[in-house]
Formats: sequence, C-alpha cells, structure tokens
Amino acid sequence: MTVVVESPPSGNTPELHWTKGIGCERLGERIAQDVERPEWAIVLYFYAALHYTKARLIAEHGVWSSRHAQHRDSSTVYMGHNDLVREYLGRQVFKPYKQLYDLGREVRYRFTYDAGKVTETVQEAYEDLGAIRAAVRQQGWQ
Amino acid sequence: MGYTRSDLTSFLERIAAEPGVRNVYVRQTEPNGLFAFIEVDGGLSREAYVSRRRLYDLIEDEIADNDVTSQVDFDYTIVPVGDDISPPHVPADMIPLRPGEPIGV
Repeated sequence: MTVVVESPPSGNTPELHWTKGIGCERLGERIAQDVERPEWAIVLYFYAALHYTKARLIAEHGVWSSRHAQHRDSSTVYMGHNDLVREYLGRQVFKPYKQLYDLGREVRYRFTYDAGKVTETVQEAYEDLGAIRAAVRQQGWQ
Repeated sequence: MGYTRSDLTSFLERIAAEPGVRNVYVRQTEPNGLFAFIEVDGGLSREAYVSRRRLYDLIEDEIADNDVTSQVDFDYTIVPVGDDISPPHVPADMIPLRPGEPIGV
C-alpha cells in the first residue's frame, strides 16, 4: 500500500490560511456572545484551527490535504488533514485539534439541547484554539 | 509481532472502563483496523470537557507510544452524552464493545 501526502495547490499560501483562521476566530468570538446559539462558535473555532494548522503545515512541511480524514483506494492511502496534524505537528497540537474536530462535528450535525451549560464548553473550546494558535504561529504572520 | 487489532481492542476495553465513559462502539475497517465511537457522560459542562480531554490524552499517548497508526488502521470519535443534549446517533453498522468478547466473529 502506497501512502501519499499531497502538496498544496497553487494559491494555498500560509499567509492566506492564517488570515482565514483569524477571520474564523473573530467571527466565532462574536457568535459566542449570542444568547440563543452560542455553540456555533465552536464550529468557527474548529475552522480557525484548521486554517492555522494548514498554514504551519504548508510553511514548514509543504504538505496539504483536501480532506479531514484519511481516504484510500485499492492501492493507495491518502493522508487526511487530521493525519498530517498528528504526524507533523505532534500530540500537543493534535489533541486539542481533535477535540475541536469531534465537538465541531457534533455541533454541526447533532446538537439539540438546553443551552444552559454550553457557554462553558464554548470557553473551553476557545482556550484549546488559543493553545493551537500559539503552538503553530510563525513570525511574520499577523 | 507489532501492535495488532487485538491489542487495540484490549486498549479500547480499558478506555471503556475509564470514569465517565458510557459506551464504546466499534466497527472493523479493512485490512486490519477499527473505528471507535466513544460516548462520554457529562454533557456540555466544563468538567465534562476536561474529562474528555483526558481521554484524548490517553488515546493519543497510546497511539504515539506504540506507533499504532502505522500498524493498524485506527480512528475514533469522542461524543458527549448528557441530559443537556440530545442522544447521539450511533452509526448503524457499529457494535458495542463487550469486554472479553472477540469482535467480528
């Protein structure tokens, strides 16, 4: 079985992804103040983390994936972004990233709930995003 | 002999016994892997979030310490369960992990 790591398509620069990440984070901060549906901030925090990690993976390693999870055909395994984060950026980045990934998917596809406790989870997710941003940031980025 | 699906099953049985873990469901993936769906109690509270973080630590440490993903195909998701959220939708093709029982037979 051949393992393939893709290269970023033209135009996918670290600076572009970093800027996208900041935009997602800022929008997430605003949504977190919403009294009815603050949980959607977690989705924005996840996408901010996605862009921040893409920026670092492209800048430092020249790798990229169009999918979150690994996918395969009969003879080839294509590494997903999750695999790249674990492999290239290490456990200390991957663990909060995976937690945001899992929780963000839950928010997108499942949650219907009493919003009483969700602000605590939104705050924890924000702190995880901050840890990821600090770990992958490079000088010269905004 | 390296890390096998049997080793992974044993590890997931230990995860299933961790405090706050309500259920672990698994699906076999080819050629020799598992996908695990881990339900964790506590809903959306800060305590539950921190509790889930500990599970990520345990699982990722197991993966790194044993070079698991280069030997078996493994992925997982950790799903909050609680009175403050709707019940999770366990994928229909997943089976409960029952300690001591072989899977896929």
